[in-house]
Order: sequence, then C-alpha cells, then structure tokens
Amino acid sequence: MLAHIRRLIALLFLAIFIYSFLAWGTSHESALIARSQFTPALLSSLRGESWAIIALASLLLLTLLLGRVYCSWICPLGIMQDIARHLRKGKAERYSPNPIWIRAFFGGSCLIALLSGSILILSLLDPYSIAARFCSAILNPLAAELNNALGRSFIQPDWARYSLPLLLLVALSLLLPLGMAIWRGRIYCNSICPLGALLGLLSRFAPLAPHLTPANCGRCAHCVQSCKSQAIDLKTMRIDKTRCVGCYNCIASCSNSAISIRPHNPFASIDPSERPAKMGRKDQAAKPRPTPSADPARRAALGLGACAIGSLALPSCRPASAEQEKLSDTIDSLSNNHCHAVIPPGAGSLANFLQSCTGCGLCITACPTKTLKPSLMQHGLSGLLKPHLNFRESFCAFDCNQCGNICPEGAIAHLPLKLKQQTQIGLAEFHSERCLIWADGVECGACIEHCPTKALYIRKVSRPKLIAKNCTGCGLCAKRCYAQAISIHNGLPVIDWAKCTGCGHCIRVCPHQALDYDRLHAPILNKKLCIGCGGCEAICPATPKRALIITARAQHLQTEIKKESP
Amino acid sequence: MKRRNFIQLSFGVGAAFALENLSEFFPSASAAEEPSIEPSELKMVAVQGGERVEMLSAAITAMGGMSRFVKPGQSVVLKPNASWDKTPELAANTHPSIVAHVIKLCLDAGAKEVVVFDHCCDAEQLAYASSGIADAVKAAGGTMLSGADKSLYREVEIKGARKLPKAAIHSAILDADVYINIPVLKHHGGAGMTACMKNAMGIVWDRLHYHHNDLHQCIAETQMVRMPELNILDAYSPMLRNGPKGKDINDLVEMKTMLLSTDIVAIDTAASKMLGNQDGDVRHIDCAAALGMGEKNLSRVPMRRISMPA
Repeated sequence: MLAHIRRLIALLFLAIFIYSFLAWGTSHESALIARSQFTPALLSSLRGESWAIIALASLLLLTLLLGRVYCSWICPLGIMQDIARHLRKGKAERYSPNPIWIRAFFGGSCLIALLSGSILILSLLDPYSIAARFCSAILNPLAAELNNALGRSFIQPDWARYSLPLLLLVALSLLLPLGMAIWRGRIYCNSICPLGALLGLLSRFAPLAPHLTPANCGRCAHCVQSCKSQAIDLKTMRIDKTRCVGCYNCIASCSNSAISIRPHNPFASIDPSERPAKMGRKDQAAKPRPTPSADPARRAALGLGACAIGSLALPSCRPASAEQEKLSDTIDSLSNNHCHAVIPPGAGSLANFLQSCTGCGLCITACPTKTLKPSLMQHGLSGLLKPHLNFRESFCAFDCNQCGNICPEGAIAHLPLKLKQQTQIGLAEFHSERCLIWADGVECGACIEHCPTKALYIRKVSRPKLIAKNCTGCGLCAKRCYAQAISIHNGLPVIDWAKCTGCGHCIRVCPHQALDYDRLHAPILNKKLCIGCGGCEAICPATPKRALIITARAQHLQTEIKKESP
Repeated sequence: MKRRNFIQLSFGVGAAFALENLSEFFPSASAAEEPSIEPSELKMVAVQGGERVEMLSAAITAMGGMSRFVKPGQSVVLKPNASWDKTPELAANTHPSIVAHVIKLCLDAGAKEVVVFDHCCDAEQLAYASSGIADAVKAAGGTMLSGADKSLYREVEIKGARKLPKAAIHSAILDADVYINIPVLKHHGGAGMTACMKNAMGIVWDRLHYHHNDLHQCIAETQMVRMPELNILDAYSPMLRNGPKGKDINDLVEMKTMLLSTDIVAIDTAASKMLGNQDGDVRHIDCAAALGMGEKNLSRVPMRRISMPA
C-alpha cells in the first residue's frame, strides 16, 4: 500500500517537474517543484530567501524523522532511476556492504570545493541538476516535435540549445545513474550522489524510517531482494538507514509484517538473544557496519584526503574573485572584461553567479527569445553548463524578467521589470568602420530599430563623398582640410572618418567637383543608456564582423533613463 | 467633431510637429464640396476624429463595403504590424481592435477563412501576446499563423526587380485570394517612416538582405511580389520619434486618423505628410512610384475625407 502511494506521488512529482521544463513561457508557479528540490533550496537558503529556508527546513525535518524519503518520493533523478530499474530482468537484489568511503570521497569533494568557492563538482553530480538538464536539453525539444506532429500551433524544437559536447555531457551524466540503477539499484545515490551522502548522515537515527523487528522475521529474504539500496542485512537484522531511500518496497514484500515504519527507538541496540553474535558496543554507537576486511573510518579519511588533493588540482574551478575585477567601471566605460560572456540580469556579479548556479538550465528553457545558452567554456571551466547570453541570433527581451522569476537557486535574482530595464549587463561597443552606414554610406538603421532604450539614435550627418570619375588626384582637398583627415592614396583622396568633422571645406575647394555632400542617417551610441541587451548586435547586418558588439560586465550597473516630454 | 474644430486641431498639431502639409491632405474648409465619386471608384478614404472601430466601419462603408474586396468563399490574409513585444498603448503594433474588426468584416462578407501573421522583430510568442493581436484574432474567429517558421516561406522570383530579384515569401501571402495590409503609422529610425510598404517587409524571411542592398529600393520592390487589395493604416496615435520599437508613450501624438486605400503609394505619401516629412524624405515612396506601383500625386487620387462627429 505504502509503496503504491509512493509510486503515485513520485510519478506526480516527476510529471510536474518535467512539465515545468516544457511549458513555453514558464510561469513562476511552475518552477515550484524545482524550487522544492534539495539543492536549489539549499543554495537559495544561503542567499536568505525565506521560501527556500522553509523548503530546506521541511526537507531536513522530513529526513530526520522519516529517513531519506526525499530520494524516492521527490528527487527527479531518483524517480527516473526507479523507472529505469524496471528494464532489468529479474529484479532481485542482494545485500551489499556499505561503501561509505566512496560516499565520503564524493560528498567531501563537493563540500571542500564549495567551501573553496567552486560549485562545479556539485553541479555535475547533483541529482536535481542532472535531471533538469536532461529535461531542458532533450525532453523539451522532443515535446516540441510531438506538439508539431500533433498539428498544434507551431513551436520551434530547439535541439541546438545545447551544443554537441554539452549534449553528450548531459546525456552521459543521466545515463550513468540510470545505468547504475539497472545494474545495482540505487548505487548512484549511495556512492556518488553528494546529496545522498548528506541525507545519509541525517537519516541515520530517523525514528520513523523502515525498521526490522527480528521477532517477527521469518528469514524469507523477500525484503532483501526487493531493496534497491541493498541496505537490508539479515545477518545482523539491521536496515542501513544511511542508505535506505524510503521506498517501502520491503514493507510490501514482507508477509510477516516484520518491517514497518512504526515509531521505534533508533538508538536501541538489538536484543542479543534475537540475533547472531558479534554485535557489541560499536554498533550501539550506530557506526556504519564494518566491511569484513577494512576499517571504514580509515577509508573515509583516505577518501577525504584524496578529494582534498583533487580539489587542489582544480584551481581553475574557482571563479575569478571580485577583487580581481575592476569595480570602478562607470556606466559608459568598461575595463577589460572580454574574458567572459554576458550573464543574465539579476545575476549581479560574475563571482556571485558562478558560485551559486548549478547550471540546471531552467532559465535557459524559460528564456522566450532563446538568448540564454549553456556555456561550454564561455565563462571558463567554472562556468560549465551555466547560462550566458548569446547575441548571434537573438537578444534579451526588454519587457521580460523571466530568468530571474524562475531561477530556483537564487543565482539570478528576481528583478522587478523596471529595475531590470535599467540594469546594465553589458555595454555595446560601436565599431563605425564596420557599420554599413558609416563605411558604405547605405541606409540601414537596423540597430536603432531594435534598441529598446534610447541608447542608439539617428543623427543626420553630412560628410564629403568622392565622385571618383571627376577626381584628378590634385590633392588640394588634402592640403586644405582643417582636420588633416584627407590623405592621397593611389592618386585618390582617402578620408579618415575619425578625424573628419564634416565641415565641407574640401567640397568647396575642389576645383573639379569631385567631392559632394553625402547625407547620412547615422547611428550614434549613448553608452549611459545602454543596458547591453544585445538587440543591436543580434540584428547588425555588417559582415564578417558586426559593427556593434556587446562586452560583458562582471559587475552589473544601473543605467540612466532618458525622459522626453510629449 | 465639427469640421471647424478639426481644422483648428489639425493646425494646432501642425504647429507643434511641423505638419504644415497635413492641411494639403485634409483641405481647408473653403475648399469646394468634393465632387461625389462612386464608392467603387474611390481609391482612398481618410477618416478623422472618431474611435478606431467606428472610423474603420465608416471608411469601409465609404469604400463600398468589404464585399468590394472580399467575395464569398475567398480566403483572406491579414498582415498587421505585430512585430514588437509592446502593449497596444505604445502603438508600436497595429491596434488589436482594428485587426479584430477587419476579421469580422471579412467573415461577414463571406470569407472562407482569415489568417493573420507577422514575421516579428522581437520573439514571436512575446510579440503576438503583448500586442494583443493573437487574442483578438482568436476571439474574432481568425487564425494566427507563425511567421517564425521558415518552412512556411517559399522562394519566389520577382520579375523586373533590380535589388531584390528573389525572396522567400510567407506562403499565406502567396496562397490567399485577398491580401489586406493593416499597418500602424510610426516614425522609423532606419527607413524614416513605417507605414504600408515598410509593413510588407514582414512577409519576407531574409530582411538582412534589405539592409545590405539599398533598403528603400528593396522595400519598393517587395510590393511587386503582391500588391495588397486593401491597405488600412492605423494612424490613431502615430509615433513621431524614437520609432519603431515603442520606447516612450510621450513619442505618440493623438491624431485619431485612419486611412484606407487600394493604392499603396498614395496611402504612404499621405502618411508621410502626416508625420511631417517633406517630399523625398521617405525614399521608398519615390522608388515605388518610379516602378509604377501607384500614384504619388495625391491630387490625382480619387479620395474621400470623412470627419466623424464628435
């Protein structure tokens, strides 16, 4: 009965979870399941978000009382593993000793890396993020295909959202736990998953976790065969609560009601008369059961040592510290921030962002313009899988703050729309020598069209234009130019637009009518109004390099607003 | 509104925004009563002073009713300006009430189906939703098509075009029996003005080609693909600066005007004058006139002007 309820609720959770990655233009509410996952709740709690602290406290309380039910009922990757496990023929499990040192190694690595400011290991091993990325990269475009095949209103399936190497990484990081689940049940959760390690510590004394009453046990071992955590040891009559994921399959399999979740004293030792010998004080202290050949404590220490060494070898995982970046930038100037890509509005600063985002991809899925893309190396190794803004084909919509609304980890803070519209995430750099208008004298203005603030505007510019067929190359224009903007190359005047003031003196002095006025509607950039949304870069038709390029800001700033009367 | 009030208003607006040419377009009270023209010969109707839907109804009636353009059983495509992720108040897109009313008129005239689309500049789902057009179309019984789906575009050759010899055009435009163009009048940073001809840039897939190859000539040559049977220009509150995206509500001026025309050059010429442009400021009008797409000299266009009672 309990196992059936668990299956039903777990499937419901998984369905809502997946749905939040499919709903185009996802709303704040649909991320609720994502927000109630352990890692997002933990990370958001660190930022002091009240809902996250409530979610985290409830999850911790649940674990302390009921054991690791999170892993079976709520965790999307856990539920996916349970589904994958059905692929195995003959589902009988057997008891296996507790591989605590492996858990200590992975969990410890995560912890040490986190304390040293890198979230990279956690983001690669975290079950929420693995499942989320799978939904974002694979299920979302798949659902769009299905939608189109059913003839509903067209949705562009975005297979290219994750580039091929990232797609492989996403697929592999999902296939690893699923493959392990087919092989040995919840072995990923009990050896690699850092959450499993943490929750295992908390669930050790859970008074409402499944509990074996030796007096009732008929030693049929049905429970052992049904335990996907391989946590039931009939020799010692113990269920290893650090590994039990609370799926309650054992309760369903037991015909003698020997296993129950009735409250029991978690610290009590088992009556010596009820069980074979060998259990003494050591077990009373509820140390994990020793493996026959090695001391687990020593192994755990070894594991921790190894991971400490490992984390030392990953210095590049640490994001650049805030001090290294020039924070003295003003809104119209930029120090050299070319080394990283633009981060979403609400992220605040690069250092903070890289330390609190696990790259779950929820914002990437929710971004209505598909400007948010997962990073390979755009932010360096520490930014692997985290979003950046790519302005090649699209740009950040002005009237949208979806990424901040939806981010479950608090890495992208929720900015009210007014504030978001003044947040400078990058700064446009205008290369007039590439601009079609400035360089070729054609009519364009695509950038002005797309600029949502008034940062780009038209100025009517008059400047000299050469009529080559009339020119004799006499050089009078060059001689008379007040700004020394004209030089003669190959017998023809060449005008340096950076120097030309457009005064028209050369046109007046030319004896051969070889120069005339060229009237341009040229774009001018007011950097104080630029928010770095990328509209201009995305649309600029100049080739091969665009005339407007957004340079990222490591620390977001506030722009000014230009008010005009009616 | 009385004709006198209207003249006063138009002079007031004209003084503020250098619209001295508007008086040419809406002639002064001293002008003789217009010679009565058969509705079926009218090429342009200008309405002033009412609300959007009532101005549209009056204009269509003056033109001889929607049945002049839509015959029973025909399919109709509407091309509004739904390009920007902006709400109707900012007048960056055609007002949804106009789109809805045109659909109603077409269906009443016996249209088999009415499809609506735009190839948006902002993300389509945002622009369709914010503009209010998607909802209005659905409610009015039309079908909203995607303009972001490349598979819906077909490559066509444009005979006689210099700068745009071929273009991928949305199949809805190519397949429909009747094509009605419903833009909104705005200033445009790149092209000077966006009205009926510029709106047709939203029927092509590759717009960047235009920016490389003589924008205005390309805009004019786009009309050679297919001329709209009817152009309806929403000039209720045109955007006079910082266009076309809709950045500031202060950029709008309420003119309460609507233009209808079968001649795309004539209606854009009139629109250009409304924005205070001089002859030649919006070059695609001249390009199109040179291509013989329509009449630039408004005095030769059979026209009716209607002032709605206040």
